[in-house]
Amino acid sequence: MKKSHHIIRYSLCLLCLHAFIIGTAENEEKEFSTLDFYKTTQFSLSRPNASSFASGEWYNYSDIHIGTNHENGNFHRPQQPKTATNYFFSAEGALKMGDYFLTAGFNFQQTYNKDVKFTSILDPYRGTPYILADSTGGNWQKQSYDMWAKGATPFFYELISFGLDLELAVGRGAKKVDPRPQSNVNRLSAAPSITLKRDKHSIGGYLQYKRFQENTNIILYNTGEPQKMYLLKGMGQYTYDIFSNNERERQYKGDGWGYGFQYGLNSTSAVLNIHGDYNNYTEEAMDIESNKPRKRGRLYETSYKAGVNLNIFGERSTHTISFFYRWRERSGRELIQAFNPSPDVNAWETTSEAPRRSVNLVRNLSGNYTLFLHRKPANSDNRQLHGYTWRLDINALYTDYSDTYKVMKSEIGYKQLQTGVGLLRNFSIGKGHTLQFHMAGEYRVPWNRTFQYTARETEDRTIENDLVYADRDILFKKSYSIEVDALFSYRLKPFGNIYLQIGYTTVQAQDNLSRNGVSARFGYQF
Amino acid sequence: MKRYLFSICILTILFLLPGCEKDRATESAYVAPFEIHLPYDIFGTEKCYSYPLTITLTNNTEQLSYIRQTDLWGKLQLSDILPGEYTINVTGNLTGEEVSEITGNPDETGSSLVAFASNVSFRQNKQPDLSQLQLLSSITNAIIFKELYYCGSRTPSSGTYRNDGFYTIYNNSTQPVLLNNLYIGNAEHYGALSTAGPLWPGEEQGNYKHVYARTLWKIIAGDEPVLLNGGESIVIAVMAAPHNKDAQFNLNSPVDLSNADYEAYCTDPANTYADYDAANMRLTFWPDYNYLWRISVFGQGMILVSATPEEMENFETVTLPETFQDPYESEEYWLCKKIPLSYITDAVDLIQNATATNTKRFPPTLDSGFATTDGIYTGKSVIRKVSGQKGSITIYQDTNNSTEDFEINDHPLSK
Repeated sequence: MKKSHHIIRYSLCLLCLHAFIIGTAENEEKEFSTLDFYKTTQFSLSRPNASSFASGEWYNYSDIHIGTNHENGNFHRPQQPKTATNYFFSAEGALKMGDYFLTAGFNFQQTYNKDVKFTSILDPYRGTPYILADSTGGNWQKQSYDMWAKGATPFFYELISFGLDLELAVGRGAKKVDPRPQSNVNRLSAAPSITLKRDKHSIGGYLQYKRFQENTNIILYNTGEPQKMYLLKGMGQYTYDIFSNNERERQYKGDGWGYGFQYGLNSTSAVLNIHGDYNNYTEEAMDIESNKPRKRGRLYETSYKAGVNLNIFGERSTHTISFFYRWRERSGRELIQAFNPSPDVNAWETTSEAPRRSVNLVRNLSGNYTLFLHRKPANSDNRQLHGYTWRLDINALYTDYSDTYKVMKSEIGYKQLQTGVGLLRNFSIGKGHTLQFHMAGEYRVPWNRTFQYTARETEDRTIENDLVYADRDILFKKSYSIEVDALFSYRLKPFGNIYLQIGYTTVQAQDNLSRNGVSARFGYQF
Repeated sequence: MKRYLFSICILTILFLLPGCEKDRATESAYVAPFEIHLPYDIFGTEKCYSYPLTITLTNNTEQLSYIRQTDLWGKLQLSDILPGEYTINVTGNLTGEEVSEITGNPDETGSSLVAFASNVSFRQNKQPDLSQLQLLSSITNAIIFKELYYCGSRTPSSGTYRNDGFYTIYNNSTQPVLLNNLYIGNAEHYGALSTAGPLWPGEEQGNYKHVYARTLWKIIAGDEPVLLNGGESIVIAVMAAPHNKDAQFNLNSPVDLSNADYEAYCTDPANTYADYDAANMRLTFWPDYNYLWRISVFGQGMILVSATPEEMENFETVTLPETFQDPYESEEYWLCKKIPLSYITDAVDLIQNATATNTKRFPPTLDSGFATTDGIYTGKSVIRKVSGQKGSITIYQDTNNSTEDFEINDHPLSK
């Protein structure tokens, strides 16, 4: 793992150096907001199909920044922290080497989470219903390193290009109160892709493989004080163990395949993209008890996505319209194991499997509209990359959510609409310096709320009251959020911009629940 | 044109390459409906019982229990049962008349019926194999465990304390019983807290013919005959100290054991624990001897063995097969005394909680149930329920099903 870190770091340094030499001359006259404009309108950047780089606009850039976020408040789900503080470093860049395209990035984040409950794994909201949860809760300290790289060839014979998308993320975290989990996570994905082009039309596809692993070792310093461990398995259902040894371990191992296609239509005044994706992932959860692995359950995740993006480039304005639909189901199959104590086996054996015990279904439909107003009129090619003075975002997201555990008559479901508006203004304050103000608001309203729960234990109501009901109460609340931030960028004489951004966010919900956050970021973009 | 055909082929392959894995539901999430039929001799087949049988099905996988009653023919239809690994426990009673019909001899007291089956796999859409579930008429003995306190207590500073354990032994008859050949001990507990223990060579899972004891104490150390009258009891302390009277112990302990009758103390120059006034038992077997005899606060199987010193000497000492051994433990840790069931006077399977029934170590002929304090360091004990009086003597319930016979006592030594 360390070796791969080094390779990616060195590659990134080379990339930044290259971009520094080649890219800066190109970007010297670009406005600071050009990069934001580029990232918003370049649909291909957010998809695993890197081969489509060759059919879009390209912008050489480097962006390095450090920053911090802090948020605090009582409007949070039970397994989320009451207070979270992050410190992060990020470096990314893109450059064209000859006819080849390469973009890569590295992110590091150090996180301090306070008052986290019912989890002994790094991220209880990552999708598995099989969460190991201690009953004490406490403060977590986490680190994560994410590295990614995407590359594409030019169109050979003006017909076909190839691309590759690689991602590696590692994370670790620990809690310093008994029982003390120490969790290590790594995930990687690779997606080779091709795109075919004919005049203004292009069609492409990718194949993605991803794998995931998490190991959580739980240590009990005070073995004289046994701890109850909840082995959650979806919708508040669980079994439990009394943990009184020195150590226990849980492992998650998963992998999956995905593929997708896209169709693109490029003209000087508009870009249209239509895409569809399919993903399939399975993950097994097992406990190591007295050095013997015991499988608990298997997660099956299936998702379908489809979307349309349309960019319309005008002389002084750019319109970006997108629609997106996603269907995702996560199903938990419980593996029923019995211990075979015969000398020949002496291990846990699967006697049967119970499929579709926990079923979590989410359907999303979203629509987004973004308007950029540019200061300078475009040249003959309206698609040229340049900055903007105003940015208006209007978005809406409809969610249909259900989480069920039928055999125990437990379920939660709701429909939800999130609508948001954002407005951003860039002021040019001479010599290429920029002052930017941004304000956004969002309103969230759930309806069609259904809830039913069968408690597991009559004498211990902890999970029932502090996890299940508490989560329901948060999910069923209306809320709104307001976000304001300001950014100042200073153009350096040789090249590039340094910038400082500060922001404030507040979320207000029913019953006087709220959550407030502040953020600051300092960076160098060139 | 060829180029396009070639490209279309590549794209088609891309779409078809990955097979998808889906969690496909079966016909029903439950076990297929099934019937349990439990006849005993002529009852349940030719004649009906006077009282229904009570069946407890514990799903160890789900940690759920179903408690149901049969009809008077010993039959029960079950449906909507979750799959999993089950322990099944059956209790019932035969009246004196019913016993007389079976034996041909007059009987006034009647008898208890028990049945037990462990590690029964219930699968979705299949009917379980219940062939090992057979009713037995329970055996009762005069000398029984009356109360067992093993789960420890909290100190005033919320620490933990477990030197205050004790076991009360009671003469559940009207006749005096000689205690000289009586031993107390605990069975091995090599499995993890939620795991069935290892299968000893030559034994059948859930139907052991021997008890494998890790510790045995001869209650009466000397040779002088000691009688226990009917309705009387003796208290055996782990440490016969005034636990709740002296701050050097634990003022929060529920018990003062300075008046205990016997103590598990070893006369050994290396033993730094004090020797209190109670008579010392004689240590007979404890290969990994460690001065203070404390069983797990989660509970272990406790036994009373009736055997002459010669018989005890002849019981085989066996070691757990190496497959099951943890290399971090000493060789002595794995040694056990192999005691035939016929020598066991009373046995109580103490387990962690009501859903950990797969960790039971005793066969149903010894104890078809379990007792539990359902918590650790709670300062609570388990005590037998009273079943009635014979003259001035209190008779405690002894059906060989500790689940039925025992209840939690919030104030140990108070009854």
